[in-house]
Amino acid sequence: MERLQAVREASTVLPRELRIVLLAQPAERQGDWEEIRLRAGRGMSCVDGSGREKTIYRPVTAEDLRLTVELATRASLQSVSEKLSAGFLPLRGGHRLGICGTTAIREGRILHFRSISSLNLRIACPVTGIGEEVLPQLLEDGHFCSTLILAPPGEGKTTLLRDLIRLLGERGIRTGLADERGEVAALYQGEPQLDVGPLADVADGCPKGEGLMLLLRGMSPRVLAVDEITHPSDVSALCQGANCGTAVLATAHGGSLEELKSRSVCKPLLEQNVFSRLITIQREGRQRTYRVERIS
Amino acid sequence: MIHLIGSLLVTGVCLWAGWSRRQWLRRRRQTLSDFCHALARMETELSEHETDTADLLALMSSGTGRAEPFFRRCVAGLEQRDYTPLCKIWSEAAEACDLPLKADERSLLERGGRLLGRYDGRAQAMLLAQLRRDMERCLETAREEERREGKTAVLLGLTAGLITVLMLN
Repeated sequence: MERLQAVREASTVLPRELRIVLLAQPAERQGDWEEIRLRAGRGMSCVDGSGREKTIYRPVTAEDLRLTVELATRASLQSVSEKLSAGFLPLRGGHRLGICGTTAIREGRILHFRSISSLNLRIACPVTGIGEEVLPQLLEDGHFCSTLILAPPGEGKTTLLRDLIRLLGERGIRTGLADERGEVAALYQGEPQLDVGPLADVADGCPKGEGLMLLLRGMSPRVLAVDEITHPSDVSALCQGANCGTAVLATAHGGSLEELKSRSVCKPLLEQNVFSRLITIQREGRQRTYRVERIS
Repeated sequence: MIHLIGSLLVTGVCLWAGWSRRQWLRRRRQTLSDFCHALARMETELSEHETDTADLLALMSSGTGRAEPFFRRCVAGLEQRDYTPLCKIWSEAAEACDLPLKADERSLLERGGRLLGRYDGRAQAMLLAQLRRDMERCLETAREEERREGKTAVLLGLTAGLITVLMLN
């Protein structure tokens, strides 16, 4: 039911004709959709949870694509130029519209699209409550212990991160979140579209390192959170935060701690014992299990 | 007596026709002037603040004289639940307001609806500047026509009225 509502909500950016066809599809099929794909000259298609794509309607025209972008931006491309340069538009409800086509570039930055060739409407259907079982193991005397969530891509690190931030907020622990790609909180007109709880301050759209420093200097977080440590500046900011007494909650790609240790970017974090807890995620089909271990 | 009343009526109608033409020329000139000012304000808003289109049109709904009803209709169109493309909202607003413009001036105005919200702020400002310059040329023409034709229309009306009266007598 939640996914049906999510599909209905996301479909509001589609032109009327396409929206009607989409919502006329059988409910059980709609419940499986994760993406709606529009490609110029190809039929409108839907992608389900297994990645299978099925065409459901006539070839999409250039005007369909242009109108979808106009709907998504409320006829204000100028207001979303920063997001556009990243190739996507955040939508109300946490959904996302990926854009592809012929770009106009100035000073190495995408200004707008001269013509659009494809759109990918990603439907957000967030999961809450998965952090309940692990959070007690991350707290000591009411304080949050710096935690690293480690797993290969697509295993649910971002979903767990979001839920932990939400749960921390419900326990009165203020978190500063550096959300460079807008995937954790999905701010839309300044408001998180995905539930990050009552006490999360979000720095959206800026490089993680700068976002973390902004939060540290201005928002007095008790926990600094970041999704995917990838750059030395992320590491430097996290170390500074830890040195200031702020706990850290972060995710990183990896299959194991040993694999992480071999990566030079993350070495300073491990050498300085920034993290005292490690969560690894095992996935079996749609089921996930979270393993928490102390690492310092 | 009836002849006199009839003569006055005929003269009055012809005079009114001439006066109406003069008034239309004056309204046309004022409308073009107000749209030129509005376009200049929109350029500034877009180039300096990259203002959201809905906010931009709301801003233009006041302080733009004869263009105000047009922009108010555009704002109302954007607020509709079932979204209509902006270019259609724009042209429907122009039609509904029955702006005192010639056909080519109306086409010029419709260009605005096809560029707003489709590019980055700077590009939109540049395109609006081009549109404003074209509209200012129309404004110059309108001023000239008002100056030349305004009084003539009234006099022609009066003359036509008197001639009609004489011919009927």
